[in-house]
Amino acid sequence: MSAASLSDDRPVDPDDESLVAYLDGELAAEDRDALERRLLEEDALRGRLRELQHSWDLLEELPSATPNEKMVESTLEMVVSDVVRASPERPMWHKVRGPLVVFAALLLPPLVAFGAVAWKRTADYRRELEMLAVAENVDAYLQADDLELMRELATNERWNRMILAAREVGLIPYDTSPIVASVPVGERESTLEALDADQRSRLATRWDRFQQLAPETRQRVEATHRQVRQQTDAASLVRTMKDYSAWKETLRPRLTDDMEGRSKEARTDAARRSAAIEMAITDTIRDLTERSGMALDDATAREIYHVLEEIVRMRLRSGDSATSALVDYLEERSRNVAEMIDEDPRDIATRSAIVVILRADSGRRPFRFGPPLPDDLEPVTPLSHDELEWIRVVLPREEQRRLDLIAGDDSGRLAYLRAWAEEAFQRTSPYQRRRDEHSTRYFALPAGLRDRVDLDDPAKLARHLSWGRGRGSNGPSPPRGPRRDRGQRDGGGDENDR
Amino acid sequence: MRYQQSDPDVRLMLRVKDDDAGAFEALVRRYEARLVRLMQHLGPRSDMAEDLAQEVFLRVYRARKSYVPGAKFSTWLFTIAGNVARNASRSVHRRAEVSEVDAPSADLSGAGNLLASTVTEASGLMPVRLAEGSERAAIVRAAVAQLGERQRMALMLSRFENLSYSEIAEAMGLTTKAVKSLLSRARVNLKELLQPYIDSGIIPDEVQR
Repeated sequence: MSAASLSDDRPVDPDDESLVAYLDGELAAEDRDALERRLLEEDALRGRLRELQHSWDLLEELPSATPNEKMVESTLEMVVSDVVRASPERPMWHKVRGPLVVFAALLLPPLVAFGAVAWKRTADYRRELEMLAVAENVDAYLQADDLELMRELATNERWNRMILAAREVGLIPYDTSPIVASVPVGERESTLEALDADQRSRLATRWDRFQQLAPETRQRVEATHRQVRQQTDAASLVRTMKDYSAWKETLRPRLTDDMEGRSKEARTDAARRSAAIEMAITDTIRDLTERSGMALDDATAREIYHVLEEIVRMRLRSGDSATSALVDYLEERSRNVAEMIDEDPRDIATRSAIVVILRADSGRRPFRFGPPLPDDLEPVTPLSHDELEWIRVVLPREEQRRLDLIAGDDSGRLAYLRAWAEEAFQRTSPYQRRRDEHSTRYFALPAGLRDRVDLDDPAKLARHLSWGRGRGSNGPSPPRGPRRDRGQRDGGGDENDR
Repeated sequence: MRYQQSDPDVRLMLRVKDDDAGAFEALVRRYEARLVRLMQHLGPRSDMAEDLAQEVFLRVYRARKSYVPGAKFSTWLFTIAGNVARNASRSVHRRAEVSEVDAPSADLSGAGNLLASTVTEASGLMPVRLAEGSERAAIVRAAVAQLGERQRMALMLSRFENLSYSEIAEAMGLTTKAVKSLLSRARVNLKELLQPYIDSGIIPDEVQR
């Protein structure tokens, strides 16, 4: 192809012009519609469009723009020297040389000063922008400087699962994504301008903390930052370090000392370090299991409680001998109070049996409250896999998603469901009571019963309110429980007062 | 005022106007790589690209006091870049005693040679093979270099800077209609320059991304 055929004066085929404008999205709507109709009908035109687009696409082969830090610096230096340098060529130079020399002599010092101040300011500002990346991760660099431990944790499946759950449950911060640390220094200023209030606040807090560090600590943090940046897996390391530093705050110091090899024993015993990691994960998972239930909303807790009641009834219907014996025993014990509050003692016994079933799960921490039982009573079985699965089924979709996310496998899921059943019982049952909450329990009594116990002597009232701690062997039976009300998921009102 | 509100680079340039060195550094960082790429195709020689990009920034800084935000900052910057590239080409061509300003630039003859030799290869003198990535880039670069200066400029601004026809027109001092014709010629010419390589299988008929 000759150069002449490429000239700007070469006539352009109107179809080519339309096709190119079409490809560039610059065709007016009317023309575009007309062209698209033609494209549908004319093979040749479609072929031409394809050819024009393909050659354009081949421009992808050209190297992309690559930032060059040295060039940026040399450009800035060149501009500064241009600022402070007198122009080499001026018209009428020989005529105005004298005044210009005087003028330059007067102007040069301020210009040099301006240059120096400007570059000092730029350098300081740039240094602060660089340090923002360090400050953003200050906790991670302070708390998690053992990179090998971080790599070990990052490949530990249990740890990763636990961190995921810890985020979901709120034990550690949910959002650990970088704010400005991953942005090139030159773009940080505009990134800062675009931050939302929460991000700004978090960054400002960390910046203040970083600024307040003792000089030697700050140097250590900066050294860790530099060391991490040199690693090929820097981004992954920083994520792990952030998670670890947040997790570490929830652990016993002894465990973290062992994990980080700070204790004398761990320094000489690698197995102790690994064991400490596994123990810390186990501790946290146990903690998470219990905490996760607190996030259940009241309506879900009520649903779970209703399922627990149904589980007892189902066991009775299926002829489960231990549960039948238990309910018979509790029914007998409930007669007096049932008569007092005008309730079926069988219903009271059924609800009381829930706590005994929950308590029967020896794998969990002691579930202390509940009626004392005679030694010769056949022990009831804990909640079975199918019964726990029944609880799972009634969970709202969002809670099911949360459960799947934090539990990981089937055994984890069952552990969480047991914890949630306990939480639901404690929150919903009229027998629930936490320590030192006599007043809460008193006000939770049904109004009629509350009027009657008011007339009892103080010791008897205290015994009554202590029911469930396992201290009183022959205390009064539990007060009346809530009636099932599936239609009322979020309704207010004190069900205990009904 | 419109551009001041919508274009963050305009706001940066206004700060440069107030002698804010940090703002100028931000602009350099933002545009340095893009300007170098532009100059690799617009300038008389690709090895001059960095020097020419620096020259553009120098002119921006010198012109800071007279800056008025009448367009997007990038449009203004690319106008300066176009002038710098054109002046450099003239200067080089003058030294090389080449009088035709719009003729392909000095290293374009080299580009032509590359295309010619590869075409020979494609014509059957050598076994046809698929070019490696760097070779493909060289072929495409040579094809771009064969385009006229204004076509190259319009192509770069459209393809790599995503400027609209009206913005390209503003940067190049042309009408939108002229830009439309210019880009049509650029695309058609590029297609005709590259078609032999596509037909012979030296470069693939689908872009490898």
